[in-house]
Amino acid sequence: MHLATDVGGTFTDFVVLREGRLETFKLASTPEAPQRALDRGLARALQGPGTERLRVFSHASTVATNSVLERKGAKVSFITTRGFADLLHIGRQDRPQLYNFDARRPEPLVERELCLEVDERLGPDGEVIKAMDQDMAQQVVQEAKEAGAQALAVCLLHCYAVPAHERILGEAAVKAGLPCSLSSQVWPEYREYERASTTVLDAYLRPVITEYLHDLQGILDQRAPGASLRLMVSSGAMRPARSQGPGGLPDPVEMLLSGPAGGVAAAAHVAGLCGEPDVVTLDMGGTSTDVALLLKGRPALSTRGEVAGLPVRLPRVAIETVGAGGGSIARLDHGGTLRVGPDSAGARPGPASYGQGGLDLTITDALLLTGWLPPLELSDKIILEPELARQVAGPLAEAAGLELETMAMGVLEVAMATMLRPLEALTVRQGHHPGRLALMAFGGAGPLLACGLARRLGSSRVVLPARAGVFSALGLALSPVRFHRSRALMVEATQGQERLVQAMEFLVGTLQEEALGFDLDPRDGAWDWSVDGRYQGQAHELTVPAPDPNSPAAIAREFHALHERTNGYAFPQRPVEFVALRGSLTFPSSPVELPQAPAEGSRHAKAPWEAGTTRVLWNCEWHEAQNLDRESLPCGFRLEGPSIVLERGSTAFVPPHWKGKVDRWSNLLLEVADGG
Amino acid sequence: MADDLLNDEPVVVDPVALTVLGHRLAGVAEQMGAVLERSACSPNIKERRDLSCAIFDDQGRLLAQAAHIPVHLGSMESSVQAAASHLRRHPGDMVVLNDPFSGGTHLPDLTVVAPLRLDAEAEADPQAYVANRAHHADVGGRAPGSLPAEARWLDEEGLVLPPTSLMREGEAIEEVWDLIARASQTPEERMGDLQAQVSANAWGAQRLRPIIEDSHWQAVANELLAVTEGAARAIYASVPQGTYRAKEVIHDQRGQPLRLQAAMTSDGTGSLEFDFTGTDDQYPGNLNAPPAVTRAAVNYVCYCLLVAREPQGHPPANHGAFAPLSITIPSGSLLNPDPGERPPAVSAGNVETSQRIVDMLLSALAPALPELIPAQSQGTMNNLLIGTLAPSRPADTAVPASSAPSFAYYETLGGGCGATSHGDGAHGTHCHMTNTLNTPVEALEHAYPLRVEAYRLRPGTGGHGEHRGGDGLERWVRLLAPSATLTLVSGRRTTQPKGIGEGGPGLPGEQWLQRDGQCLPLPAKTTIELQEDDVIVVRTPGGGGWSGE
Repeated sequence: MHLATDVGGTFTDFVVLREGRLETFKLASTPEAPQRALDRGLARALQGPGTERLRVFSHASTVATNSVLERKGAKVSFITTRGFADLLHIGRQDRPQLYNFDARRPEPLVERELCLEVDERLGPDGEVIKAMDQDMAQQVVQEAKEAGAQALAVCLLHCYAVPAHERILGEAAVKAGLPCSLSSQVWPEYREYERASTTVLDAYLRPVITEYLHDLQGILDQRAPGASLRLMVSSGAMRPARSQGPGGLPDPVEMLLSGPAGGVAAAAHVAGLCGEPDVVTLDMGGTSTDVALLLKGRPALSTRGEVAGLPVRLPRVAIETVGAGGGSIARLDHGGTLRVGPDSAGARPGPASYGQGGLDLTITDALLLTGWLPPLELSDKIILEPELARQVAGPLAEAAGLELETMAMGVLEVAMATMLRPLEALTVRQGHHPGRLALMAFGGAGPLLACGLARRLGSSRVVLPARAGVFSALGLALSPVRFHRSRALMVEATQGQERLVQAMEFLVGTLQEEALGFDLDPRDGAWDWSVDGRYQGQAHELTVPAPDPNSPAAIAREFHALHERTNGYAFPQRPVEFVALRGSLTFPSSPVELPQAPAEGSRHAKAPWEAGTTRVLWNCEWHEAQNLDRESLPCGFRLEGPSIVLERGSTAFVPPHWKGKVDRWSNLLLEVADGG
Repeated sequence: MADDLLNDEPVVVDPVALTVLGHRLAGVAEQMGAVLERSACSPNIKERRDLSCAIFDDQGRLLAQAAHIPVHLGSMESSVQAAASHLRRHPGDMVVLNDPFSGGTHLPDLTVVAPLRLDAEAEADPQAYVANRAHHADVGGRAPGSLPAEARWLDEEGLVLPPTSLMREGEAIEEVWDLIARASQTPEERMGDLQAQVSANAWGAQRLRPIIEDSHWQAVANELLAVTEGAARAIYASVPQGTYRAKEVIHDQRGQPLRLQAAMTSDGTGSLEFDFTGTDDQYPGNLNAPPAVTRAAVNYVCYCLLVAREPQGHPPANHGAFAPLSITIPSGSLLNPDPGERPPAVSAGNVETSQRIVDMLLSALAPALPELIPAQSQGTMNNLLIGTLAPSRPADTAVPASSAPSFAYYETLGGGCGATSHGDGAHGTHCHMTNTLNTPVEALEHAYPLRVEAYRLRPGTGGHGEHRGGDGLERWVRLLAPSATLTLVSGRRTTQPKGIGEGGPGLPGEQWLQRDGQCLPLPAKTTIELQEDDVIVVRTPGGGGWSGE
């Protein structure tokens, strides 16, 4: 048995794979002690039918992100090369907003008094300019300890080339009994500020994550001894973990952004099933919407990211967040324009139509007024009330000089225009044309706006996956186990053979050791290599697939070709520089057969919604939309817009001129008809 | 909104249509930026992001500009207007320019303008324009990086391009590309960057087309500008009626003072007038600034006011936001130089004078809007250039045939920002007219024969007060090559960024050369030859402090 759990702010989602079958359920989260909901869900899963023991417990959590947002991590001391103690405080010397006199970079996680220097220096190729003195190392670690540091973050200049100096400090930290993160381990690549920031986050989170995983392991040991723990990391892969022993913990910083990565991993799986290699995904929540890209069936990764304004350099699923979600509030600015978000009614009081005292018009209210969202019972406590939405929309419509319904439609138009901007920019940055991608929507209101957004994007295809309500947890169950590391090269391509071989040997050794630590035989895994390269003098790298890392000439050739494809030009005569080698060792997940839709021609017994219709507004006209119960739709079922497809926790709107069919796994594949 | 059937264009523009158009236009500008950043070649554009992209209507009025570099804000309108006359003839044309006396700002900033016509017929007037500007690391001139400190005349600063056809009917005009390549010591990089600029415009034009195919688009765009102008006026009207004056003194390469003067008048109904009468005459040196720079500084300060008053719902950055601002600059002055027979140098106008125009305008406004206006910031960009090019190399010669490794390192350094009524000023940060990133020390040492020995804040250099000014920073750079040319263009070395109220001034910056164990002070603006093992130390100014009454 395999249990996957995703802890969100409101709900904790569970996906159980038992004897090849899949079950899902949700429990209310317990934010003050997330383990409580997990323990309850674990007990419930174990009570299920059959005798299969729990073998794998997969997990994603926002505990790391929240600790940073709430500034609840360890007191960290930062140790660096002499002359650079202010590295974290200077950053890249930019300001976060151009036209705001009061905008400040976020305060670093380390106080200035705890930023310490050591008198050592390496050159760009790792040559020693000033050697590190062992006594001095112990002295500075002692100084940090006496100042009250609970963890150390070490980042020395050019240590990505030769980690020896950092290791001396690491050993001193062990002697002093202080947990320590070395930049040469966390992110051994050049660009000192981003590397330091990543290392500091790692140290800052280490005690928090250690304690969290210790508790989790305790629950597992009690309920299901012998089950192994896997964590989703920001790259969208699963990493085995153990709360004790060397190599047991993933780097804590890798736990940042692990939640949203799960949804994108599930999307990649569904995209594979329905033959859509290039997809933009849309995960719409209450206050914001996450967008990501799947290219050739795999989540587009980025090594640039930030959490609460602090840079993190690790391979991560490239997710862009837009400040518009179901609860986003619509306002008329005094200039006569209509703004939607970034302020949100949140869960409390929530949209006006929730009847919890909300007084602002939100996207959810507008969806209700246009009929795209029928007046449903969302939970025992919340029944959507269109009348309440109408009451708050009235004054706004009057101020704008619009009919009430036109106003509601306008809120949706503006919401979509707001969401399109980052979505298009993300696509263009990755070198793709937005209109050529299919759109996959999940989470809350996503499936309601999906077709409208697709048309505005220039795309004609929409995928609405089944089980969208627990999509992130599903992604955990479907994702393979992967270990990955990188190593700086910083060498001109024609001189690169030796460094490539050395780096590859190092990475093979490290990754094998990590896998063996979890009783995984490296021979069962698949190796994947890539090289970050650039033209000499350029500051920006392209990641080039390198099936054979021993062949610098082939990698350089591929670099020129990739540069031509992505940027529209190449300099075949110009020297290529290899910046870093990336290696990963992947163990495929055991195949999961997703539950199939009811057979064609059959009908689910209970189809409470089917008889009904809903009045929907589309292109300034009212239409009668057919209500359909998603769970009852058999494989091969064909539908035409306008229709509303309902299921627990998620509603989809299929506008006029759209048609669709249900595939074997209950995914809904939609396409615009000519003239739509 | 009533349907006025008597109107020739009975187009009802509602808030939804306005907002959606605003988002779509801004989206296109952002995508152009994504294309330019992705496909550019040089670190200065890719890593430091010294670029801007914008969209204009048929009259060359700014419709949307992506937030990149303030010194470009609104100053591209004059580029588009200068380019327009060259774009009438052929569809698929693009024009490049950098001439400060014909739509440019300073020579390294190359602006590429493209028209968009729905009707592909030749001779038809364009319905819209897209344009982008990028700072090229070297366009020739007397010193590497094209910002020679001692230049007196424009022709010493690099290749001058009045509006010149770069593309015709979608095809590159080879002579022009060659001309630009030959002027630079890094020709391949120039070609890559220029190609990226062309790609960004092509992408922008393609994405703009469906927007302007809507027959109502012009009416909605006009309304968008009108509504923006109305919203901006309402905020500008909050500047109490009156005339506010301030002066600043900047220093030329020989340390001679040059006076800037401004009088800002608010009529209390939302019109603001800026009069720079009293500013000194132009002079043979590089602090002269074409009017586009002053326009950008005025726009920047006023746009900050809009943002400060309406943090979430401020008007978008388009022509309407700046239409209520009128600017008078005496001809032949430092801020509106006359090209004459031999145009004066201007390279530091963009990077230095612009900062002090902002400081001067803020000083003028401070008594009127004490709760909004920050104390003065470092007031300079501390331009540091080190490279290997003979300083006497004429602008028009080809790349030297010698294969000795040459390099051109260009960096601007942050400093202290002014404190505000809300809090302390930021330390070691780029303020006001620029926001470029620093070059990582590890990247720099890998790319150039230089070693950074220290990069740290200068504690206590920010002015005292209830809220302290931000601290400046210092950078120590050692030359590891046998020789190189150093250019430093900086300011606020003898005068101090002023505080507000009882707030104290920030400390000035300073710089020196360490050679053979000796410290040699350097002037604020200088081009000198370095020897191996020389260490150049630049310490940037602190910001002013703030104290209420």
